[in-house]
Amino acid sequence: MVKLNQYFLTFLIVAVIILAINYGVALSMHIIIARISDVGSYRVGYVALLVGIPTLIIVFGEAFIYTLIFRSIILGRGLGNARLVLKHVSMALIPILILICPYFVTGVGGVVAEDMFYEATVAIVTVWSAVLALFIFFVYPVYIPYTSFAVAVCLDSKGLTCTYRSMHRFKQLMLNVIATAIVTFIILSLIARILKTVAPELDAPLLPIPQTSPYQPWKSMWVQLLGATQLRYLNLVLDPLNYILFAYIFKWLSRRKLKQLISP
Amino acid sequence: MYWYWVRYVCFLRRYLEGLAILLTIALLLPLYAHISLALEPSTFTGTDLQTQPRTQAPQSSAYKFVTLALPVKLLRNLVGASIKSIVASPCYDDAIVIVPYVLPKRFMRSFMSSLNATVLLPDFGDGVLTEDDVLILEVPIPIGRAVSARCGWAVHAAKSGLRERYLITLGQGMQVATEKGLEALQNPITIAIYFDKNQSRRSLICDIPFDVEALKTLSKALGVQPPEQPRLVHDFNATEIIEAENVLNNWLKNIRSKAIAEANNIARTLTATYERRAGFVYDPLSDRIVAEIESKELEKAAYQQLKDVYPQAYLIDGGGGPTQFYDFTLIIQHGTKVSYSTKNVYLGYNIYSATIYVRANSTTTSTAYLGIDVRIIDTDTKSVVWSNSYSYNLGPQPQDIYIYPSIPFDTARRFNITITFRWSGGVQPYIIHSTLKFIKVWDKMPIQQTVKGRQILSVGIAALRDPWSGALPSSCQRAKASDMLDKSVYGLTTMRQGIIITSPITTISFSASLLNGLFYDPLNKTSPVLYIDICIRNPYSNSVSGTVNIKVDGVTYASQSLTVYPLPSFGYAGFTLLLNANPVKGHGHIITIEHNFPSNVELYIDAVLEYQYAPEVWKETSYYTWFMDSTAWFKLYLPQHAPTATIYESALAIQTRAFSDRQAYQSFGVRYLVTSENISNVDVRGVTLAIKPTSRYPESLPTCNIIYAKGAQYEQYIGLATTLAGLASTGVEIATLVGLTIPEPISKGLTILGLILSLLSVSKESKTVTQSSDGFYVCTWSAGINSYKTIEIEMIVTYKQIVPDTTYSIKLIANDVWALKPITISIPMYSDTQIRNSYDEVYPGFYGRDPVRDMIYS
Repeated sequence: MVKLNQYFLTFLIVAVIILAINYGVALSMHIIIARISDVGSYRVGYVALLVGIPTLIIVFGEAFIYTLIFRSIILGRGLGNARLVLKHVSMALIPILILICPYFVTGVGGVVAEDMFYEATVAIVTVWSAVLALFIFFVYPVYIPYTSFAVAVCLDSKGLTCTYRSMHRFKQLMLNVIATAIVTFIILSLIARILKTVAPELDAPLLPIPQTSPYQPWKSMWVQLLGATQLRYLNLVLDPLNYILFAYIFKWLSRRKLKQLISP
Repeated sequence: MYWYWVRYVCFLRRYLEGLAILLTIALLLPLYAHISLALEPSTFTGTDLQTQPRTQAPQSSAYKFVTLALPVKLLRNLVGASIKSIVASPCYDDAIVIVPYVLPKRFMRSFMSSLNATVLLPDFGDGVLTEDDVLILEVPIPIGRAVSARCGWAVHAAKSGLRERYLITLGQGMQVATEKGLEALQNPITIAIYFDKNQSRRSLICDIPFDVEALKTLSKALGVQPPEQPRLVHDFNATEIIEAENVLNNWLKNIRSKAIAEANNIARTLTATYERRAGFVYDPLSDRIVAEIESKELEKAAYQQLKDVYPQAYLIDGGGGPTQFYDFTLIIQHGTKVSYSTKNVYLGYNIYSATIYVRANSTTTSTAYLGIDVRIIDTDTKSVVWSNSYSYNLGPQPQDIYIYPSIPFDTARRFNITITFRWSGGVQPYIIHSTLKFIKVWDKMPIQQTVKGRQILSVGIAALRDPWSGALPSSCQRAKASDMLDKSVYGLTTMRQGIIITSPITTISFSASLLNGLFYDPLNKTSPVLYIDICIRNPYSNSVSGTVNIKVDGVTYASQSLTVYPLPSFGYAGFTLLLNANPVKGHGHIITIEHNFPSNVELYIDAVLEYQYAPEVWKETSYYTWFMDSTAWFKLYLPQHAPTATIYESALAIQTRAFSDRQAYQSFGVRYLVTSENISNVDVRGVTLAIKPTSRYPESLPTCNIIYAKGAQYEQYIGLATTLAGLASTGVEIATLVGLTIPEPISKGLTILGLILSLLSVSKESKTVTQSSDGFYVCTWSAGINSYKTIEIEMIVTYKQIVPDTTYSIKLIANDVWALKPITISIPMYSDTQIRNSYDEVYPGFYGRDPVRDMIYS
């Protein structure tokens, strides 16, 4: 009964976090694109922030959720101290933060001193975005679950460097994480397809997209971008499934290795 | 490291650009100086001749004046020519007009009651040259530079109908008269004496020219001492005047006999060649002769051949002359009497613009007066529809006078212009040379197609509109300029457009450039009109009072005093002003708004200039040229120009020919220019040009092209990024291909990937053509992440096998916040028969000579 309550509490917290993340991402994009699409307030720095801020929210949110879900489903332990989770997650995400950092530097610079930061911002937005795009296939599906598992294990430890030591210790789980990511991706794609077919209204964006016309040449371009990348209600259904599936598939695929690596 | 190189390359590029600019300036400066010197108009007033008006001109050292006495018996074809129809020009510059003098046959007494004096006036017989006459020419010779031997027919001579000339080459060493006596010429020089023996033609010169001082110079050079006797005696039949008459006549006789005796010597060092032309092909646009036609038989062939090269060319055959290309005559004044001369010129109808150019050059040490009366007369009713008088004090320097008569533009009424010159004063002769230059629009121009051009100067009141309904504050119901904005822009931006004055600023000035080609009709009071609307916001709890003044070019045109009540009320002051525009040149007006309201009161300014606009194409001469001439296009400018909060300036140009009703390849083009060159920190980010034919759509989508773009491109960064992002997206595509149909929201990672890919796609400069649901063809250009200051896009609607539509609706949008209500443009269409029948139709649209090129010497 206690365990059931613990699972329920975990799911509840995860759902709330997902909701917060999704709306946080949607809201931040709306605000930034509102600034960009108004010729009067446009600064090139906002374009860098458009990538940087949602990325930061998502990276932290993902790591937080994976940590909690792994801790609950795989390790069967309590949620622990949220402050401690944040400390460990931040430590684990330092490589990612280094990647995101240029967005904030050029973003803020491109807003307050556009002329000076114009070229730098454009380069960051384009070149670094593309590099990051490659990372997305690794960082989000592999690195974050992998490092979150290490964080989940290390939450009971006092040292912050435990995460990296654990990642080193769990390197034989890497293939399992990749396999889990692929399997989860395929299953979720099929579920998503079914959901979109039976309930197309779930494809509606979380926040309404402003109406534009081709007679607003500048605004319509950015609003189209917002529409193309905006999170949907589908996310609120699929995202919890994503984490749960990932955790259970990973647990099942790695059951032997986990027994060896995680001794009670 | 990467940034180091980027910065280094940027720095190097800017350094090299700067260096290139400096080098270019360094190279161009001497060239400019050279060109400036070459273009500097010269005046021929050598200081070495104290009796001539030209003695006071500044560039006298560049020329030396020599006096030639040419017996007519050496130039036998001149016999029978009217003295008033002879002019000469040196071959090195045919813009110089030399008026030859003729040695009078005798002096005869004439009592002038106005002076109560007897005057010895020169007698030239019947004014026709005989073998015994002697021509006296004062020729300016450039000092220290070689002169060209090539001698084309002088434009002024051809336009005046002078088809005969003598080319006279004065050989090196030839004895010529100067103020120092006889001198030998250092370099050979060729002059052309133009004349015409048609007695019925109109005289070029009003008075027979005579200058006693020039005669004295010649006399001294020939070794004949000039007499001291006066030519004017204040008595009737006095012995003194009879004696003077005898002495002067003897003097003339001696000069004549000496000059004729010298003829044999002159003939040895002088080459005289007689030439005659049957006609000329004249290009009125460049004001030059493009072909001289030697025989009547060649006229038509030469004209047709040149017509292809010079579509505007006009044949001046034997019937040419002042009636077609009107040069006013030279007027030479004698003594101190008050004289006048009246010119009547038939103008016809559809006068587009007119200029009277007068060059007056007083020769005197005392003041000379010139009065000019101009009247425009309706030829049918004989009524004077416009008149004005001008008076001038002429000094010793040549004076350029421009008068712009206001001729009503009317397709139904025809007009004459009467110009009367009145002059007096001065002890030496002075010269008035004038030109009437007027441009006519095609007489078959459909007047109903005249468009109204509007120049939007400020849309300040738009900032007060309700962002949703577009409603104005209740007391500010007129906002002429803001009303031209499309409703979609209300509340769209945080950036205010137009002029908003906040106290303590009390004065603001801005310019409005009237454009060439506008119709200015002062009689009908229709154009141009300046509308100014001012909406005043009073932030205080009590009412405030103040006065608003409107000045145009520093002159107060209107003022209003008003009391503004506290919010939510607004004060309103509206002005409708007729501008006295110069219709020819189109110049800038400085509009100034002044007020004396207390601090923190805000004035929202709307200003728009409205005028009738004649498309350039209407100056064409026939259906044929209008239809065929690729240069026949007109411009309609709708610029936004407000100095305080301007987002950019823009202009629209319609590029088309008149349509034919044939099913053939025909097109309608529009260009839209947007620039923020004059505004820092503002770029041109997006432009939309939309065209909607009213009834007939073409077979395919219009083309849209970038004509001009200026700014910084950053797309080189995107090239590499797009490649890498493309690799990343390949995975997604493969998954899609195998049937997974990847939904975006599956994971946050794909969301970010989608964001980046989308961001990269919108970061690139792009241009698309689509058709909107309301039937407009929409060309949208986006700068992407690039930083552009100027962009010009072009959209061409092409009909291949469909008869084109004649009416189009056009929408212009730039940066979202500058969107105008649709503009309707109509293009004329003519039948194929009309076009073919007008192949040979000509209609001169240009008269007179370009006053800038005029140089007068006599």
